[in-house]
Amino acid sequence: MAIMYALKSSDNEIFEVEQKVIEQSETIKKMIEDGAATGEIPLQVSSKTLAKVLEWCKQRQHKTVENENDDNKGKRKKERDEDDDIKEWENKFSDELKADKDVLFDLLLASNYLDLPALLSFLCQLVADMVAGKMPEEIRRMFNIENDFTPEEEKAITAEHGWAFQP
Amino acid sequence: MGNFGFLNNDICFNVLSRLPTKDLLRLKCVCKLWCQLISDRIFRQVLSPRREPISGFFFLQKYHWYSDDIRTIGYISVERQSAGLCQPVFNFLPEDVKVLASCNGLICCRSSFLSQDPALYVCNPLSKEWIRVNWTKPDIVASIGLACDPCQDTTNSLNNFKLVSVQLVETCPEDPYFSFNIYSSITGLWVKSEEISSCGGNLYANKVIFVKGYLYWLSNIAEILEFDVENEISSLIAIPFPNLDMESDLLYAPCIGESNGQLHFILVSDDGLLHIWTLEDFGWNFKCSRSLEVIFEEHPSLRCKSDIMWLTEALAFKDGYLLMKDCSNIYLYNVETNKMDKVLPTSELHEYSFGSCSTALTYSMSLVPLNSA
Repeated sequence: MAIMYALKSSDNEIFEVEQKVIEQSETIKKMIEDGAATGEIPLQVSSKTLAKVLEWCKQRQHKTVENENDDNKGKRKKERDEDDDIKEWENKFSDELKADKDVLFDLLLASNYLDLPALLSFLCQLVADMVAGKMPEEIRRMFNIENDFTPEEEKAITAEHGWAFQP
Repeated sequence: MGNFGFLNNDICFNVLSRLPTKDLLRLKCVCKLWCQLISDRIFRQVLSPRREPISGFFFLQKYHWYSDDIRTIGYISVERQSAGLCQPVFNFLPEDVKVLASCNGLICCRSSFLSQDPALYVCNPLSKEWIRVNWTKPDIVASIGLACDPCQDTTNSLNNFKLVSVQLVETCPEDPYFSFNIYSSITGLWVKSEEISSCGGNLYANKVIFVKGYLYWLSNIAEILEFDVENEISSLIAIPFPNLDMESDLLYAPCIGESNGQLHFILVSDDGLLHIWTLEDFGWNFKCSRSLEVIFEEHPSLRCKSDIMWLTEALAFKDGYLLMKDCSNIYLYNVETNKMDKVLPTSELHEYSFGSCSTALTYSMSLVPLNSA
């Protein structure tokens, strides 16, 4: 029987999670090891975001367990199929986040706070891909960033690399 | 709506470090925080081990018959060939310079010879940081190579570079040899290497490249001088030849370049064929031959029929991009995709373009920090 832990979101929702799943978070793993995790573990993460975090962790856990149980025979084909499945799942996950940037940013902060390096890296790459090739104005609009430069300052930055600047 | 302002600097740092340098320059305009992060030395230091793809070429000209330098240096972008020759680039340096070598985002220049007190400069033209290197015995014919590899640099505290100056010594006219002087940015000193190399010819100015710890100079006697910078060992590599009538001499200009971490040798023979070799462990490996005529047929807008094929010169090559020049235009050819673009007409180059020859150096943008002088 798997050991279960109860996670409490900032808006007081309880999530029952297997230890193996939640131990991917270095922060929670440390709490468990220190014996600080008795009863409910309160987290500074909203239930909406925590649900997303757990969705990610369960998918990762699923992948690791399957790989452990594999024998070498027929592994290559299976791995390929699985890779396709994971890609598909990740694409869907990314699309949802791109559509709702509040969740994306909350999830970024949560992955940082919970110390989930794989998720953090995945999300940072997602944001980097969204930014790549875009104009500053588009990026500001996309991420609600305030332009705190005066037009003169902005011009000076562009001029700094005149020969190399690619509009 | 999601707001980037809520994210902490670590996350911004993480996101920005995944973007290519050319994007980062533009992203400095997004907001003050991003500008500050991108300009930060620690950020740039973290970024410096990345392999940056080719961004463009520095294009320079020289009078054929005079030792004087033409003092304009232009930049040709790989992604925006239509922009033509962008200038100025090196006006942040205290004097007019001639560009000698380019390596992983750093550039080595020397004073123009009109200078009273000639010096060498190593600079990062993006960050405009530069170092003046003493040049005790300025030598117009010394060929200087720049070696800098942030990917291999394990000290991680400084971006170290070395300059290798090759001089032809002719004390005994029957037996000329090359000697090597090495400048290290760690010691700040020039040290004469014990290594010498026999070689009868001259090295082509600006035809020096750095590949995986080795400097390669192209010489005019069908040899490439190889120098292992770490171990100070030199050797000579005979250039490969296509199956040509050898009586036709080396009228065509070859070039060397790097792609996929391998040394490439490229030449356009006088029958209008572009030949490419790569240097493998066992020696030269012939990669391909392409007919320029066929390439032009596939790109009919590029030139008129009256042009003469054999005048095509291979100027510089990196990451699959070849810069070529003929009597009417400068072209950028992508060896992988077989796509050719016209960069600019030769006539637009310079008022002195008649009687001048051109060289080009490849450049990969990098924000690699350099300790300012």
